[in-house]
Amino acid sequence: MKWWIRLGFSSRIFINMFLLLSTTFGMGVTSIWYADQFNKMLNQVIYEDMAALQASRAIETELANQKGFVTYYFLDGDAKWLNELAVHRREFVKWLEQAYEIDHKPVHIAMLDQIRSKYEKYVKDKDQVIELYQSGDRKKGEVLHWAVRKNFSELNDLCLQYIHATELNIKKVQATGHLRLKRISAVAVFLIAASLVLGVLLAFFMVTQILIPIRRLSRKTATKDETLTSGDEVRVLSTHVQGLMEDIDRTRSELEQSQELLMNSEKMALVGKLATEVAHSIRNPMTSISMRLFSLKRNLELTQFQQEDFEVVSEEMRRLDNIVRNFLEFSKPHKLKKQRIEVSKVIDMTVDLLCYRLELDAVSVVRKQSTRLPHIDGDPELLKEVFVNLIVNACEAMENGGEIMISEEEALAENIGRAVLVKVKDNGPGMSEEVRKRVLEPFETTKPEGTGLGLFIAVRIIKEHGGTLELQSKEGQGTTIVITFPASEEI
Amino acid sequence: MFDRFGVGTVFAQIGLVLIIQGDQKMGKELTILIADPNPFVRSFLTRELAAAGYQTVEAGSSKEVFDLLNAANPPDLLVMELDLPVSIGINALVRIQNLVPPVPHIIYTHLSEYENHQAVQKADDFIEKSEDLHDLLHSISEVIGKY
Repeated sequence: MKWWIRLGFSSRIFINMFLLLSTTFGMGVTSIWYADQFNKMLNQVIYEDMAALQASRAIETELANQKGFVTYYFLDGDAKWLNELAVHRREFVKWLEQAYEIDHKPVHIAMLDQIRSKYEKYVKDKDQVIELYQSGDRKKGEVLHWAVRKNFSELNDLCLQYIHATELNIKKVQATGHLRLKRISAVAVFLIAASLVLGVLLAFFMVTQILIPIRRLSRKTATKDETLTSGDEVRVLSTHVQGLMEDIDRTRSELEQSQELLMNSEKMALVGKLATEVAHSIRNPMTSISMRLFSLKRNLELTQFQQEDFEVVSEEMRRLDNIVRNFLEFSKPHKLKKQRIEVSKVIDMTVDLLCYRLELDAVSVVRKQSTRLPHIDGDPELLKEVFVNLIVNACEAMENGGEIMISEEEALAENIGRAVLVKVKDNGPGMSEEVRKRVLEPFETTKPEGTGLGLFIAVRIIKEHGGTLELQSKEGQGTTIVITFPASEEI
Repeated sequence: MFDRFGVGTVFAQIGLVLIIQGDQKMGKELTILIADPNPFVRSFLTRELAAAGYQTVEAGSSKEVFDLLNAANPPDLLVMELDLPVSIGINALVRIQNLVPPVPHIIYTHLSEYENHQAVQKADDFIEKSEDLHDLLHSISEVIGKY
């Protein structure tokens, strides 16, 4: 069976189909052949054997019919008996000829020859008897008549033998037919069994190697909400294969995009590294300048204008230092030290930290909390930085003071699941669509002295916590920052 | 330190130590090594520290620092910037901290992110560079007082 397993699936199917086809074909051919044979046999029986039988019987009858006429003629001398005798003699010859025509079996022909020669002698003798009677020699005629009668019975026996022979022949044909039928039945039974087995095998292959795999495949590819009904498999499969092709196309283009993105981000990483080095190098001379300025300020007697110039230079130096320091702070790799915390506590600490600033800017903070919020996993220091940034931004947005509403609630967020939502809402001037789009980008700032990194860093920190930061703002309607934190798993 | 003066009587040794320490506390003959890559920063610090009564020597790289530390008259205190060529001076710092006898050292740098570094924490003090030298001067006198 090893060779069978080694064969490819399609070869197995083809071999099976070929065998099945040849069996069926063989069955058909055998049936036609048998029908032909049967037809031949039937013809032989009907046109030869049955006709021969009929002829043999007719010969015997006609022979029997010839009996008695000469006796009647002897008794009354009427010529009509002789006429009748002639009729039957013609009939006998006619049938005998027919028998020769039909029956070609050598044994039968020999029998017919015997009958004919005997009959010819019989007729000759009988004619002699009639002649004797006609000439009036009745005594002599009577003696011959008896002798002829003996001949007749011998002839009759021959005819009966011939009948028996034809009958036997028919029986023989019947027996041959019966044997043939048996053989053909055996062959038919074998072929039927073979085609049955092959059909079952083919069906088995079809089911195990085609249908079941197709069904399995379509089950696998079918989405959960699709319920498979039988017959759907191929349709579902083709739909999904099409889907897969589309997926491949999409994935390929995504891959190309991400390769491009990767190249860009590699470049960005390099640029970032260079920028960090530049920032470090700049800080050293800047510190040096600041030192000298400080020293100068201590020792110089300046006019008012000079004093003003000096202040501006010092202030700008401080700003430069601030920008570089913030940049370095941002580029510094830091590790998230996550712990289970309550967001509210971090916000409390932040508000406490900024109370002086809030008072100075005439900003009040209103808190809104729903009871018992889930904890989150977070780094309190970094989160404090985020909230400081957001609150200071809000304070700066509301130039003439205002109100910051900080609300916390539990929610179910897309892609996050159970979440804690923190909204920081100010009633400042809001932002235009254009500003809103740009404000989350690095180095974008609306403030004359901003570094443009505050919100960018905040977004990064929130992302590192697995959360999201969104900005909702309309001109004249204030700005709301919505932060979504994933809630920590309940213990 | 005692070995430098050979074997003498115990009293003599104690007296000598007292005299040396006394001299240092008065701010005389005390040498501070200023290690900074920027010559203008070095000269500024030299000027300001001289005004405060300290003698200084300058080094612009880690190599120069070690040259001076191994010289005949080693400095009494090291004020060093971490951002020293070649590369960040953490390795140099660790080597300095392993010297025997130990050299008092103050990290005076703009690299504030190194404040929590293990080696930096072992230093006598960490001052972030700023235009006002007040913090540095204060730290110098404290560290000197300690030794």
